[in-house]
Amino acid sequence: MRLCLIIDDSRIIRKVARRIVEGLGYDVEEAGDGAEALSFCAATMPDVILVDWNMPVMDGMTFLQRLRASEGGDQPKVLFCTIENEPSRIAEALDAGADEYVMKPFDGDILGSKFADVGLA
Amino acid sequence: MTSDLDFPVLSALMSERAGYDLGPERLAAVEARLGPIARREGLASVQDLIALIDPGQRPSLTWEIVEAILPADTRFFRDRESFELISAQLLPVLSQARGGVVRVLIAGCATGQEAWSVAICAAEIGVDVEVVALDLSSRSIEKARAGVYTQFEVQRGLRSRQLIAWLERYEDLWRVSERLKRWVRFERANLLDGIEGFGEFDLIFCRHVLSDMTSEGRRRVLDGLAKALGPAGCLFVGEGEILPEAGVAFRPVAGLKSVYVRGPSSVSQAA
Repeated sequence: MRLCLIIDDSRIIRKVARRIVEGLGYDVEEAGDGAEALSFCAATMPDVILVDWNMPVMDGMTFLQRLRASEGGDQPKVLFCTIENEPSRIAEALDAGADEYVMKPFDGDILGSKFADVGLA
Repeated sequence: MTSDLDFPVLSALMSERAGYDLGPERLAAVEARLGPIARREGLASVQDLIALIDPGQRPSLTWEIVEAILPADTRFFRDRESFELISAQLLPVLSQARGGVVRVLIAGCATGQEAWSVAICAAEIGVDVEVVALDLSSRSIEKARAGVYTQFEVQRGLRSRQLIAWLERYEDLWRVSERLKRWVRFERANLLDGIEGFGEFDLIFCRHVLSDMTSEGRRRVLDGLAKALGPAGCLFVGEGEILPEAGVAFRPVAGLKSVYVRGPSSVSQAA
């Protein structure tokens, strides 16, 4: 089964996202910040990653940059999933190597649609 | 509660005015949509509102009821395959054949997302288009013209790159940019009445409209679309939509899902 890593410092958001992503047919693992997520990826590279922007310890942008620079880190589809909704922030995330960008709040329909947009059925 | 509604009156109204086949399974939805109008009119129930239906005496209220019942669900790039097909093949070929502007009709455009999606496809590959988008509902047309959508609406079907390229933030909402607006024109029109006034089109999108219609309504609309479609044009219907009445005016294209071209009878009529 394909694996999705959900990175968000809010346990509630992780829970909501987990339920949706499991419904799309993925196994789900969670991380509370970018640093925790990077160590997870070093051991097991997920197929898809949902990552929040603002988090303690290591934010989503730093995580994305380090992930893309790491071995095998170009493989996972990365979707930003954040409250940030300025066009300049969206462009910044996409330019840094995010495959798609989801603005909170989201629902199952939106996440399903974004997964399809990046070629994940 | 729903069983109290005078269903035959509503059903006849929808069939006559919009060619819409109102099935009993939609009664609960209909009651929910008519509730606010009934309250605004100071009526105790939706049934009281239905009792006021009288196209002769209360034309605008009657139309408002028709519009409220018609489904208006749509999304950006709905049934994405069709958009990939027009971007990769049809728009470039038609543009070259025409030596200029490709004319596209959106028949039943609801709140406009499909029309904007076509305009985005064309703009991305540098093809000039004139998109004419029609709908029966004046409320839908107003929203489509404004081109203002919620964050939820823009995230259904629109890729983030496309979002920031073609829409801009507008308070808590998103608004279609002026660069896109000049390609698209929205008009209120009833497809049942024919669409002669809008000229000839290279591509017609009529998706998730026909399968909700009565057989008679479908025949009338298809007849109008056949007259509006140029000889080399294509008609797109919704994914999974099958048109039993299409055989006369249109035939499906082998190997392409949801695409029809003009059939032998319409060609001979034209000749």
